Parts: sequence; C-alpha cells; structure tokens
Amino acid sequence: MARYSDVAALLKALGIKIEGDDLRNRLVVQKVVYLAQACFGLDLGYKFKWYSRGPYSRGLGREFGRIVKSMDSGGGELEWGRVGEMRMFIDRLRRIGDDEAEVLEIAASLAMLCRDIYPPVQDPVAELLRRKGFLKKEVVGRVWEVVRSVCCLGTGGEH
Amino acid sequence: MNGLPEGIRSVKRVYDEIHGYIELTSPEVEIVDTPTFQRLRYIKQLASAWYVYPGATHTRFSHSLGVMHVMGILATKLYQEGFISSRDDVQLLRIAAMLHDVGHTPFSHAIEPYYANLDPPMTHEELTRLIVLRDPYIRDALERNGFDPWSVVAILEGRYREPLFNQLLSGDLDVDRMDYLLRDALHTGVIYGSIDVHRLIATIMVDREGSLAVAEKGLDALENFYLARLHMYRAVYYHKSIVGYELLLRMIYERLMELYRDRPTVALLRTAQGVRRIVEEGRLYFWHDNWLLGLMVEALEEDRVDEETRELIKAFLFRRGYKVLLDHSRFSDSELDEDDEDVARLYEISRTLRLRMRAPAIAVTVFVDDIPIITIEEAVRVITKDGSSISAYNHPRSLIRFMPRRLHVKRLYVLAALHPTASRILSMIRV
Repeated sequence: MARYSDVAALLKALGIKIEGDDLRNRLVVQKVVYLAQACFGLDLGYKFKWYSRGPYSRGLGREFGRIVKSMDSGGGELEWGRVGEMRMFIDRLRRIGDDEAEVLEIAASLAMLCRDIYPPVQDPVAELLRRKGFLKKEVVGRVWEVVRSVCCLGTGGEH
Repeated sequence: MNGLPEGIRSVKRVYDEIHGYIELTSPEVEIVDTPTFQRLRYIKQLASAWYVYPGATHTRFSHSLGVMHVMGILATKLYQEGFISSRDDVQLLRIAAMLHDVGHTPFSHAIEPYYANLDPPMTHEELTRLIVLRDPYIRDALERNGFDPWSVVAILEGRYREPLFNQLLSGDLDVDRMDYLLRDALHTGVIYGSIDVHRLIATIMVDREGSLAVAEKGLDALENFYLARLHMYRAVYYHKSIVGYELLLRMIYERLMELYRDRPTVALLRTAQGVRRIVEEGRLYFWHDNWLLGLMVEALEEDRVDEETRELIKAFLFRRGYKVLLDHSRFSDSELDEDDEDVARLYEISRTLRLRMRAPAIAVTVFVDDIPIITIEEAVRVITKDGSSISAYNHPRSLIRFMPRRLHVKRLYVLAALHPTASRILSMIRV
C-alpha cells in the first residue's frame, strides 16, 4: 500500500475527518502524521522541518489530494498495533480545546520542540509561547501535560 | 551590500558573474579550500541542460558561493533590523548556505534516484548531513573555527532553534532559489526566468508570527519570482530534451555500477554504507560529472561491455538521446491521479511500440512527474498596511492566486535512432 493510503487509513482509524482542501485540513494531516511518526513510531517515511505553523513535511503536503481521495473512497485498513493508544492520545487532546486543528498544532509543535529541534530546547512550553505569542498559555500547558509523557521522555525536554 | 555585517572581516574576494565581488571570511576560505568543496567545481548546476542550452555549464561551486552571498545580504539586513541577534549567527547562516549543496551526486538529480532507491536509501539530504558531520575536511574546518557541525545540519534540515533561520534556507522564498533562478536564467538565456532579487530582499520583512514575509509594495517582485519559477520549470528543469538526457544518464549509471562492481571504488558506490565509508575516509573528491564521463568513455573502449550499454553511452556522448514522441504535459490545480488516463495510454503505446519495433525495453520509456508550483502551506506571506500578514495565495491584489498549482509532466520518449520508425507506427496506431 502506498504511504498516502496508510495516512488515509490512519486518519480513518483515529476518527479524523478531512473534507476539502484548505489550510486547516492540511494542517491537521501534517500534525497527525508527525505525532504518529515521532511519538508512536509509525514509520511512514515523511521528513519534517519546522515551518511557520510547526512541523511540516513537503512530501506529505504534496500528497494531500491523494490522501483525501483515498479517504473519500473509504480508505483501507491500517495494520498497526498502536492505533488504539494513539486514538486515546488524540481523544485526550480533543478534550482540552474545541479547535481540533489548534490543539493538534500545539501538540505536534511541542513534540517537535522537545525531540528534533537543535540546539535542544530546555523549556518547550516557553519556547512555543515565544514563537506563537497568540496562543493561550493555559491551553499550551495542558497540551504539554499530555504530550510530555508520550513524546518527550528521555529526550531532555522538561518544563 | 557585500553580505557581511560590520565587524566580520573579509579575507578574500571572488568575482561572480551574477553578484560581482563575493567576499569570503577566513572560515569560509578554509571550507572552500577543502577537496570536498572543490568537488563542486566539477558538478554542473543543471546536469545535462547544456545539451539544450550550450551556456548552461555553470557549476554547483559558483551557485554555492552565490547562495552564501545572498544569505549574507539578507541575514545582515535582518541583523541590522534586530531579527537576528548576533553577527556570529550571520556567519553561521552563510556557512550553512555555502554547504547546502555539498551532498549532490554527479549530474545531481539525474543520478540521485539511484541512491534514493537503494536499501537502505541514501537521499541528497542524508548525504549532505553525512558530509557535514563526518567528512574529515569539512568537519575539521568547521570545528577549527568554532562552529558546531550539528548546528549547520539543523539549519540545512529546517529544525534549527531559531525558526527564521530555517525559512531563509528552505522556505518558498529562500536564498537557494534566489540564486539559482538568477544564475540558471542567465546561463540558459531564458530571460523570463530571472527575478528582481534586490527588490525582493529590500521588501522582505518578518511578520508578527516571526515568519519571513514580503511587504505589500514588494508584491510585483514576488509575483515575478513565482512566474519566473514556473517558466523555468517548463523551459529548463523539465524541458523535454533535458529530461530525456537525464533518463539516459540514470540508465547508464545503473549499468556502469553493475558492470564495474568488481572495482573497489564502484563496489563502495553501490551501497549507502559504501558511500558513507568514502565520505568518512575523506575520499569523496573524485565523485563528480567528469569522473562519470570518464567511466563512460572507458566503457566504450572495453570489449566486455554489452552492446545495449554501449548504445546508451553513445546516445549520450554523441547527443543522440531520447526524443519525445508524445507529450501530454499540462498545468493543473490538483494532484496527478494514479489512474490518469493519459499516463495509462502512454504506457500502453510504449508496450505496443516495443513489440512492433522488436526493440529492447530501453528503446521506449515513459516519464511522469507531478511538480508542485505553489503549495498553500508554503506560499509566502504578504504584510498588509495594518501590519498583519496573509498568504500571497489569498491576497486580493495578487496574481499568484491565479497561477496553476501544479505541473503534470507526461511524456513518451524513444531513442533518437528509432524515432522515425516509432512515429510511423504511432500514426498507424492512431488511425
């Protein structure tokens, strides 16, 4: 199965709906795939860099239309043992805020700050607030509580 | 504008055909003088484009210096405006810029797929990382001058702690593109591929979210930048004959790697681990366009080389490569479907042609690519009069939102010697 089909199957398994080609939906796909790769070890082969809205993969952005099409046609099944675990993780994030895209963006950004950014970031929450001053500190702090234990243990990222 | 902030001293200058004098600092001279960086003198920027545009013989070496220079100008401006905090960071950015292409293979994009398809694969980005971290010349030059190779790699990979640094080298409007559009347009003569780099730099700002953006008054220059890119894709980077010669080179490389597998150097170049060893031993200097051309010439003189490989090499060396038989390329706003009817038809015709001409598989080939021109996420932001910023793709006065988002390239190629026969058969099939 092509990797974009795996992404479609992942989104379906996580109960995430992507309808239409707009920036919000594109962001959701980017952040979910980053979290799946970085925090849950799903190897889809996408490479991420830090862009203005956090982790971003050019390769994934190029396949967005195919992902949507694959989802529209029902999508396949993803044979991956950690689907349930990631679904619980996403559900915990959803309970923090009404805007799913924003919460996912915060979660993926915090995960990238504690895992991939160099030189290492000592305080991912403070760093994210420095980068995105418009975010609410309380929301970022609550997302960090969820992200830290799953994505950042042993990476040196501490708040 | 010499690309150096006050307090950083130039020790050497090089005259460049695009930018005039390019100033070099002491650490930069040390890097340029390594065998690994000198290798870039022998890798042409546009691989085989000089088969179509005879002047396109410029190299990765001059482009790398050019990118460093443009980075110097832009980073100095951002330093003076307070968006970059120290002069040392400007120097770090210049060094990252000059090393951004150090991992190119001979003939760049023509040969890269060979390494991307290895198991484990070795991409251009991975090779760059490996060279910066493990090549003894580059690593030592960096460390001797107090630069952390990991910081250079983080900037090149877009995950450096200062997000602005990442955008300068790998955003939609980055210093790499600013130099290569100017340089490639000049050397090919495709004048509509050129850009107004000074206007762009003058109007580049940082928006409230800390992202690179262009002031509204720079919108014309930004539109020209996107249009220039689009023209260059069609006129140069995906030109029908240039792509044909790159396909040919790829086939030849695969065959030579197989043919000379008993040679110690080639044996190493066949695997990612082998390339890693060459890098770590500081022996990468030979791996360039001229080395591959030499290998081709040598193969032509050897009896043990099969006829098909010789024909491919002759087709390349004597400019008798693939010619386009059918071209269904077009602009589009959506991704190319996997079951695209044009592509399916091209494959069907290629099978028919092979059968009717009793030709080997190499005689006919299909080339398909789906090239993004503008992606929503990456489109440059424009700062409006009230100080907020919006994507250039959504700006009400921007031409950019009317531009196609993708270029679909769909072509059927036939070796030149068989083109007349294939054309005849094709006309019969169509009847």
